[in-house]
Order: sequence, then structure tokens, then C-alpha cells
Amino acid sequence: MTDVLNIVEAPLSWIILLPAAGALLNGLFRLKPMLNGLLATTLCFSAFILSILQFLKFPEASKLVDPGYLWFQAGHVKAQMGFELTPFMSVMLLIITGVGTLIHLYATSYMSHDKSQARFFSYLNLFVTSMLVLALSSDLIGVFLGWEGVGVCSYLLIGFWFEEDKNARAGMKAFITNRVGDLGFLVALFVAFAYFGTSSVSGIMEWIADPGRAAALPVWVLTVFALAIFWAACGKSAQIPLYIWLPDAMAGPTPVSALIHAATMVTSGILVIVRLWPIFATQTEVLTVIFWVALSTALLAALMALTQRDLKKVLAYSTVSQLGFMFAALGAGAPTAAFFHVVTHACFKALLFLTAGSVIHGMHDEKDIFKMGGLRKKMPWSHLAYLVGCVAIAGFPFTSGFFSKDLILTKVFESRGVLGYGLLLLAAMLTSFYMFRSYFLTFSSTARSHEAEHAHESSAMMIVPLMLLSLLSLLVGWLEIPHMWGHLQYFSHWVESSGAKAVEGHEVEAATEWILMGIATVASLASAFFAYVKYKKGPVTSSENFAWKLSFNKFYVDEIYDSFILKPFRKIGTSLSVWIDEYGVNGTLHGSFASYRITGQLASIFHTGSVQSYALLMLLGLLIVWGVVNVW
Amino acid sequence: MIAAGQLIFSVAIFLFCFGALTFFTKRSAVVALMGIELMLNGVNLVLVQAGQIYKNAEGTSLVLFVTLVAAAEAALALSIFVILYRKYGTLTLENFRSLKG
Repeated sequence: MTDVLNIVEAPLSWIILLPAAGALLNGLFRLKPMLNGLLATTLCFSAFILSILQFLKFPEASKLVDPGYLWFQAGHVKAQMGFELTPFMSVMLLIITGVGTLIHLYATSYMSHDKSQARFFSYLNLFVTSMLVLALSSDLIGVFLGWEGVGVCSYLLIGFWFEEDKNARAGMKAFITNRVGDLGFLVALFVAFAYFGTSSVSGIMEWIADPGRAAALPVWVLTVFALAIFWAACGKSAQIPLYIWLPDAMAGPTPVSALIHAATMVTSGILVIVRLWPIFATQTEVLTVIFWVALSTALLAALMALTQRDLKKVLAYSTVSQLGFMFAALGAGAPTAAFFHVVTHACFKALLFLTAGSVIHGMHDEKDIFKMGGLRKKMPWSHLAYLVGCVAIAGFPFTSGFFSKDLILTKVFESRGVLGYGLLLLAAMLTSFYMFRSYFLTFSSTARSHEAEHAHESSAMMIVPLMLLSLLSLLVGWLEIPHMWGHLQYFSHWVESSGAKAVEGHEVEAATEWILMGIATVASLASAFFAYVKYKKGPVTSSENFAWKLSFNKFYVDEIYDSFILKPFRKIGTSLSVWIDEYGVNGTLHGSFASYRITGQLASIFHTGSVQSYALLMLLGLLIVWGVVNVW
Repeated sequence: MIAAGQLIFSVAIFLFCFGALTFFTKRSAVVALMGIELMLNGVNLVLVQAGQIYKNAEGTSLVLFVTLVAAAEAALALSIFVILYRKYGTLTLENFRSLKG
């Protein structure tokens, strides 16, 4: 925290209410096609303007607060629906609303032929709303609300074209995998209630900052809290072992993949960890766990991306791998590097996805890069945008990916030594290789299918966001340049003034830093060149050896999960349904109605329909009553 | 020699039993109705005699009500018989079994 807290009240809830209004309007009223997209874009843009206004308050203020209202109270559990904004979150706010606006604009054109546009834009605005709640809430319960909200929107949008069984299944897979992760968030909430007595972020931070109170806690509390939050982050941000949903999430429309599954939602795990950084900073063992999990994710996903043929799948595995980089930075104790990469990745990965969407649109929904080729001439703008995206993600000098990835690699070298650095560098090389593989297969050489021959460039409404994102991808990196280049470290300032100070480690000397930078640059350039040599003439008929099969089939992780987790559950489910449902519940029901039927059948013997027999029975009854009353 | 009171009670019981027997055994609806009327008269006789014994008018006045209801009942039943006969062409009780469960 900064030394002098300068807390300013600000109307933060308005930023959230604007897209919420868009979600309602589009959800309730049937607007004309295009109009609904433009409405959603306008509201998202207004939220962006408001975010800029709040952002500009920051040199004077250190924290913006909107007290909100008391949502509910149960015992000593208090949930305040309030909002607060720290400097680093305000940057994230700009990304969510700014990149969000560009993607809304793009989607307006992309979805213009879809029959349920209103539903789409309603979901998309609802997503922005939930993401803002997640980012802005001052209380962990509010954060959890947003956390679940983005999960629901992700589910709705992945399964947007639910007529196809495959898409609906992908949505369910994403939702259920995320639920497994959400368990961690709940555990963290329970720990917060039980031991901190509060769930507000600032309340927890005060608790941690007070050495007396922190020492009074059992040793394991903070460890469990941190691990639980990390588990939740694994679910949302697609880390081992819960990353499996993200590649399948590509079943959704491409703007959704760009906004939710690349730029914003998947980074929310990192955002929450950076917000709660003072807790993580004290837990070195947890940071070690985070680092190695992240490193394995980055490597494994990069290996899987090497052989994929679906353009969006390549980008999806690349996203998992890049998220691994961000977590590796957290594991190395450098929240600045992680957040810096969140922002640069949001720019270039949104760009890559939107360009992929443009290519797929031009190819009439053909996603196989082996069937593309030669699109450079036919789609010059998309080609330019994709090239910029590839250059940025591969970390060519002076692009945004260069700065952020270099910072991560340096921090990892400082705190985790040569082994961690070497493995992460390998992942970076693979990144450069598979990205340029997809680039050359898509754009160079000649057309390899009928669709590729007749591909057409997309409309201006789709190209303009691509160009803006290209500019961002090239330039954002200059906001945080290496120390030896000068004093221009905005991201360090933003993150550290929000209370997330890096874990103290030994700083490497400038000479070492130059060498590391040189190694990384040469590595990425060399991998790109290798991809050029291998794929400039089109796809290589792969010798289907063991390693290739392993990568192409994603290391059989889905199959392993299926046979070791899903199958036993299915077995338990089946036997429960047979024993409890069939024999227990159904048996009781069938038994009870059978007993009623038998009683009825017995009684209906006396219902002969003849008046005289009824009268006889009445007489008999009277006699019995008389007998009972008088004889007994 | 039987006392007059006892004789009247015996006649009443005879009337009731005879009426009940008629109602249970006869196949024609009209005769069954006559059986019901007989039972009613038996009861009326008991009421009147009981009033004589206890020296008050309650029993006797109740008979007036019973007679009234019996008249209404006879009118209703006879008109139902007319309708039944028009519709089914018979008044034999075995033919009317639509209440069978």
C-alpha cells in the first residue's frame, strides 16, 4: 500500500450498470438486426469512456471507492455490494471495456447473418457486466458473484449454437470443469469468514498487514487460503489439471473466443491473485507450487499446439500456454510481470482470434489450416493483422510481447534459476514456432482448397478493430521498458501502488539482463525461421511417429480423465439410478398405488349398482351399529 | 290378552318389516316405492303411539313433517319413474345398474 492513502469516492457502479442495461434491453426487446449490435457496442463504449474518466483520477487518488449497499447479513457474515478501484485494476478496466468495445464492434458485423443476434449481444453485454463486477467488487463475495457470472456467460456463449450437440457439450464441459475450480473459491471464502471474520478485500489486507493478528492465526490458514484461490484460478484460467475446457470452448462464435477465452475472463485468476498478493507474497511454498504447475502448463500446451490443424485450436492451446507464462511470473514472485503479460496478451491474442475469425469468415467456416494457403493476396488486411499478432506473441524485438515475455523470463531467471528459465524459454521457442507454422500455412504458398481460392476480405467494420488492436499489440509494451533502457515503468507503478509488491529477490546485473534478452530474441527469431523453412510450401506430410501422435491427440489427457474420473462417476451414477431410483423411489410409488388399487378393487365388490343391494347393506350396517351399541 | 299399546307397536313393526321385505324383494320400481311407503307408515305409527305414552305432542307433530316429505318424495319418485319408463321402456330395477363400481 502507498504511504498516504488517498481514498476518493467515485460512481463506479455506473460503469457496471451501462452494459447491464444493454443486456436487459437486448434480452427483452426484439431490436432490428445490426441495431442490437450497435446498441451493445455503444453501451460498452460508454462504459469505456467512464473508465477513462476514472483512470485519469489516479495520479491524485490511490484508490477509488463506491461504498454501494449492504447486500445481506447473516450472523457476522456481511456481504457489502460495494466497489473499489486500484490503479492496476483501472488498467484492466480499460482492457475489459476498451478491447470489449472493439470486439463488440467486430461482432456486429461478424454476427450480422445470424438469426439470434439479440440473444448474442445480450449475453455479450451480460458477460462484460459480470467481468466488471468481478474486477471491481470490494468484497470477495461480490468477486465470487462476478466469477460465477462470467462462468455462466461463458457457458451460454460457448453453447451459443446449441443446435449442434458438439457445441452444447463443449459448453457443459467448460461449466462443469469451472465448477470444480469454483470449489476452491468457496473454500477460500469459508476460510476468510472463519479466520479473518470478513470477506472484504481491504479487510483481509488490513488483517495481513497487522503482524500481531497475522501471527495469532494457525500456520496453515494462509497456506490453505492461497492454495484454494490458486485452485479456483486453475479452473478459470485454464491451468493443469483443469485446462481441458478451454480448447473445447472454441466451439463458440469467434468474437466470444477473443473476448472471453483470450482477453478477459481467463485472466481473472491472475487478477484475483494479484489483488490478494500480500497473502501470496508470504507463502513461498505456494508460489513454488504455482510456478511448477504453470511451467508444465506452458510447456504441455505449447507441445499440443504444434500439430493442431484447426486454426482456432492452435490459438486456444497458445492461450493456455501464455496463461502458463503469466502464472509462472506469479510463481516467480513478480506480479508486475504477470499483469503486464495479461495486458499485452489481451491485445495480441484478441487480435489473433479476431483475425482468425475474419479468415474463417472469408473461408466460409473452414477452420482447417491445411486447407487454407495463399490467403495473403486475397485478404491483405487480415494477413497484416495476423502477422502483427504472430510477431507480438513470438516476442520479436520492440513488440509488446517482447517486453512482457522478456520481463517474465528475467524474473524467472532471478528467482527460479537456470532450470526454470530454460524450460520456459523452450516454451517461448515453441510458441514462436507454432504461431508461425499457422501463419505460413494460412497465408503463404498457394490455395489448397476450393474455399481458399474464393476467399474474400471481410467488411470494414471488422477490419477497423483489427487495425486498432494491431497498433495496441505493437505499442503497449513501451509502457514498461527494461530498467537499463530508462525510466518508463508504468506497470510497476500501477501494480505496486495497488499494494502488490514483488517478492524480494536478488536482481541480476544489467549485463546478464542484456544476455538474457539476446538469448530470448535469437531463440524466437530462430524458431520463426525454422517454421518458415518447414512450412513455406504448405503442410508437411508428417511421419506419424509416436511423438506426433502424442501431440496431435493432446497427450490423451481427455481420454485419461474420461477413464479415470468420468467413467467411475458414470458407474456410480448408473448403479444409484438402478438401486435408489428404480427400486427405492419407483418401488415405493408403485407399491403405494398398488395398495390403493387393491383396496379399491375389494371395495368395488359391494358396488353392484343395484339399489336394493345398497339398501340391504345399509340395513346390515345399522344392525351392526345397533349390535355394537347394545350388546357390548 | 294383549294391551292396546303393545298391539299398536306390533302392527307398526309388522308394517315396517313387511315394507322392507317388499323393497328388498320386488323387481318393479313402483312396488319397491310402495314398500318404502309402508315402512314410513310403520314409523309414523310408532311416533304417534310414543306421543300417547309420554303425553306430549312432539311425536305427533313429527308425523306431520314425515307425511309432508313422503308426499313430496312420492311425487318426485313417480315423475322419475315416468321419465325412466319413457326412456328405457321398463321399470324393472335390475336394468338400472349404472352406479356399478
